[in-house]
Amino acid sequence: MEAAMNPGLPDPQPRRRAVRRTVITLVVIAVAFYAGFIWLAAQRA
Amino acid sequence: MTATTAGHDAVHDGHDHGHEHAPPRGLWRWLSTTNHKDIGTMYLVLSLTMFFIGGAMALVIRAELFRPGLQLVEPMFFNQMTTMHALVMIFGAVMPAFVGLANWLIPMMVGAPDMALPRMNNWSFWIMPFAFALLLSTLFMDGGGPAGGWTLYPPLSLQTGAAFPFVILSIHMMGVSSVMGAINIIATILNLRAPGMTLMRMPLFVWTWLITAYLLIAVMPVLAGAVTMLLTDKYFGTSFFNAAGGGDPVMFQHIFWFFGHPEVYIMILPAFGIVSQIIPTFARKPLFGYASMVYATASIAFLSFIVWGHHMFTVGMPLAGELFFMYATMLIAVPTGVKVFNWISTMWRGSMTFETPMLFAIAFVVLFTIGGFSGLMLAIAPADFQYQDTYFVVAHFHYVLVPGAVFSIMAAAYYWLPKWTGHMYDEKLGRLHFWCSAIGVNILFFPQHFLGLAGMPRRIPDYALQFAEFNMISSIGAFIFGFSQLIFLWVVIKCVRGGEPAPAKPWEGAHGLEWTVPSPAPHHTFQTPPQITEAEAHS
Repeated sequence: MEAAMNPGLPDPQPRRRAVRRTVITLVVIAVAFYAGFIWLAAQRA
Repeated sequence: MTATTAGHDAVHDGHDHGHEHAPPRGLWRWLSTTNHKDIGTMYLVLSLTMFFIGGAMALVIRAELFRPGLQLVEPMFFNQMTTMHALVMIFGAVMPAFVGLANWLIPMMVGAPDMALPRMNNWSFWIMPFAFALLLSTLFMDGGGPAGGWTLYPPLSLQTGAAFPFVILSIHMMGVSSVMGAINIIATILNLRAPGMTLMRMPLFVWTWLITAYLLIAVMPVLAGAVTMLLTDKYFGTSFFNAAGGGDPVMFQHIFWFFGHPEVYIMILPAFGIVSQIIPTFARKPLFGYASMVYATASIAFLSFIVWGHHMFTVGMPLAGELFFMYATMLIAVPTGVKVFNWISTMWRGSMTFETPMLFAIAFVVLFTIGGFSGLMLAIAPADFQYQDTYFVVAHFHYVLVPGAVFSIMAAAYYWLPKWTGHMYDEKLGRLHFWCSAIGVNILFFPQHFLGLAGMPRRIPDYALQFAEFNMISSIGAFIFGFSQLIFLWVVIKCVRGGEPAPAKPWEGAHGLEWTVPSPAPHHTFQTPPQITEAEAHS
């Protein structure tokens, strides 16, 4: 919508998809570090 | 580093289409804002507030240590002060200051209209005041606040009273906020850069924050995991760190320092970025060795994951382990040395002037290097057995964090205040603040090296008589440094309220997209992305 009004703006759709991919990847990394370290500690305890 | 020809049309293009939004007024503006500049301002205000709260705690500590014997506070309260001072300064002052600077500057530096996830940005910030209200409230609970040191080592930390679960919850809240902020920063840098703003054309501040954000995502969950396990050990019958139940208290130290050492770099890499912006401006030369600065930052970040054992040489570990952690730690001196070399080379034969931001940046280079050298001394495993848990360690990390991280934040505040407020700050007061701080900080921390080498242990409210003189000098320095920060507060308030109008680019030698927009920066910038060319990027 904004892009249609303003030809200077790039099409936001691919950018939105890229942001979503980045966020999902980073959340997975963060959860993996949290759960992974607790799991590792549980193996040792 | 970068410049643009996009000019004013990039500033608030939305105005031309009749949908420029003025920010709402009053409290609602700050509660509901998704604007990166507003959120950046809130982070910076929170950081300054916590800096004074944490500073007041430091002055309680130094007042008690002014003379041998117990004068002012109970030993238990003293221990709460050392613990809370660290937690407040690390998580409440230094980290939010850098996140505030990132919010204000990264979108403008890469030519983006805002952060990639503005609503999450609002949430990231508003978690923080509640987290710190919770943390500070523990001081008034039964048994007082946490007193076992910011490292929360079990079994000592498990003796905390009613405050314990609240401390754990507040640390989880800070962690969630930091991870959300880091995700936002990475998503912004990777996806919202203006056309032509390639990775290797980004300002150094953006680069250092990109790498810092990855560090945050890797290690904040590890801290969260460690404190979750502390909580389950205390209240749910697990034995992660309880030797009686088959657990291992030393394992907590390994996990904690796997977080803790990268955390040190989380607090210093953005400082490197700030100094790399400021020195070229006031030396009126491009940054020497841009690419090597990027690679050095990445190397430091990588090495930060494999050196945690140097914090625990004395717990007992195989010789091979001690040698590995010792040499890996010493390796960090190489990329750090590259950086110091590059800053000095940037200044070499530059047309230098010494405005307040440059004074703080030069002091950073000199004094951070002193902190780096004492770090190298601590890296030597056999020597560390002597230094462990003495005031030498306190002197070392305070040189890294105060004239290191804090001075870089001061430098950044003076450098970008004209862009944020639209007014020039009072240069005379700024220089007064610098000289009082630079002299005060050395009187405060340099004698602590001698105290540590003479064997004074850290985290004690009383000490033997032979340590009296250096402690008195250190405490005098603390009060000079502490009260000097009121000058900074006054400079900021004065600059916000008025002063000589600042042009778009108040510093002759400055380069970068943020200097192409008016001062103060409009509420919305770069709604139409600017185009960055090769020639402009290297101007």
